[in-house]
Amino acid sequence: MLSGNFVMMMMVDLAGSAKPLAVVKDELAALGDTLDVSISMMHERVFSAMHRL
Amino acid sequence: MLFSPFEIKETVDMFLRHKLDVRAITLGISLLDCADSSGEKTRRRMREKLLRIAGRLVAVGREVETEYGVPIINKRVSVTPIALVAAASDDEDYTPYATTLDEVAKELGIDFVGGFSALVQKGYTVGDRRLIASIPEALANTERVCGSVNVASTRSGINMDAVREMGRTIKQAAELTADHDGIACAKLVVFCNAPEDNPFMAGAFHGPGEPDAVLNVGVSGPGVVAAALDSMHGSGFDEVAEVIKKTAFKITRMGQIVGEEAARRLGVPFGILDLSLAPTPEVGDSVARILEKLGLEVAGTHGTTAALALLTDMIKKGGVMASTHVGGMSGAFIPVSEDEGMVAAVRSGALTLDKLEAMTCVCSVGLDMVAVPGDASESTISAIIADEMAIGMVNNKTTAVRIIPVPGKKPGDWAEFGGLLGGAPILPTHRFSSERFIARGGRIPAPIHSFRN
Repeated sequence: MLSGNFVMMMMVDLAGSAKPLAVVKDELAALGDTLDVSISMMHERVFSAMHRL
Repeated sequence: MLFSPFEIKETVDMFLRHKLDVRAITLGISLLDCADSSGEKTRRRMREKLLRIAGRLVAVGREVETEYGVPIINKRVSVTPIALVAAASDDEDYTPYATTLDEVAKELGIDFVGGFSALVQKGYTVGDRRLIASIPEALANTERVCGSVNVASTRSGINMDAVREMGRTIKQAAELTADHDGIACAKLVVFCNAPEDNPFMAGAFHGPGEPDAVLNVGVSGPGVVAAALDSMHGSGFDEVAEVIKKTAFKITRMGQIVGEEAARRLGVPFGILDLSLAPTPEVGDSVARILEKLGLEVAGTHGTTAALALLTDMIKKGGVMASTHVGGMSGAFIPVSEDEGMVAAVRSGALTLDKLEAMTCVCSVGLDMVAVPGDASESTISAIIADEMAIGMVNNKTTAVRIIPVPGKKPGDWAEFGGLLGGAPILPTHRFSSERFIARGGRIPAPIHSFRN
């Protein structure tokens, strides 16, 4: 639980993904809608840039 | 674990809840090699070069946006000041150059192209005169072209002839677009110490000292800074300053990697990162609201200048360490119409034109998107510009004026510019004349501390 929200975090390697990233994102967002949760995906480099010197 | 859950949540919240984004990736392109004695040929070359170099700008922006999960709101182009490009030709009216830029912007799918500009701080060339004379028609007859004129600098002083002329130019531009609340003026900036690598519109142009093509990036994020201050009730300024600085660092690092990646894919060098907090008219994206979180009842009341000074300086300090090259404006923007908190402050009577002027001593730009009555005289507009140029000249900083004398409107009326430009209540100007002051002309000499050699 983070700030009152149930949050799941996952680090995934998409190097072997059969589908392009944009499609994976869209499909995950659609899946999120059916599950009534929000699924977002961001590049690991964004987190590294912000939180690691 | 690579990242703690709190770190991940902090970053995700910045984008999903607090509207963090890369405000603009702006591709600066030199048009100096397009100049020809035939204006037609010059414009053809301009068009070819812009389409060749910026052809993939929007696509690359979208690619990076998708891959990194970071919104890139605007993809834009800035070009060499057109006064320099068109000077070799016999053309007297430079409006067709603006038309070419407008057409190219539409073809590229970008919202603004900046650089219908002239640098006249020390005097005019023939090209400068022709460009300035063309500004009202050029900006009234195009949608996506932005113009700017640098009329002052700390090294050269203030060209008061140009200040007088810009008062007239702004009034003409407003009249030509009277049916849209003088929107041409929202695309025109008068500068002191204009940066040559600014990625933000309407003042972006590609300076003559810049490389052939370069990508400059403007990050934003007033909402993120405001959210970071939520937990700071009762804290002293030392702690508040630290929080703003750390937040600015994180925002800037994000902008840096996104900018580098976009530049790499476009095959151009990464230029600078502009750290400015740039508001939008949306709720939750306001610089004024940050000032209020610092403890002011309404932005514009006593203490506002000090609050803004703290904010601007901490943004710079956090950002400087986070980016290899910082440039542009880098600080906090205080446009009235583009910031819902500023609009509310004007409506409440707390924020006046004089207080805005004081705030520009410590913000990163100047009097921005300020709507004044349509019957404000040319000399009043010029005098407002002169004051702002003096602040920039003496304090060795960039200052600018983007002011709209809205035809037919009186103080308290509403002017609507639409989209990111927002809308604003009309602010009253002083009723006493500056006519004889502006009529003098000539140049105000550079201040004593300009002699640094």
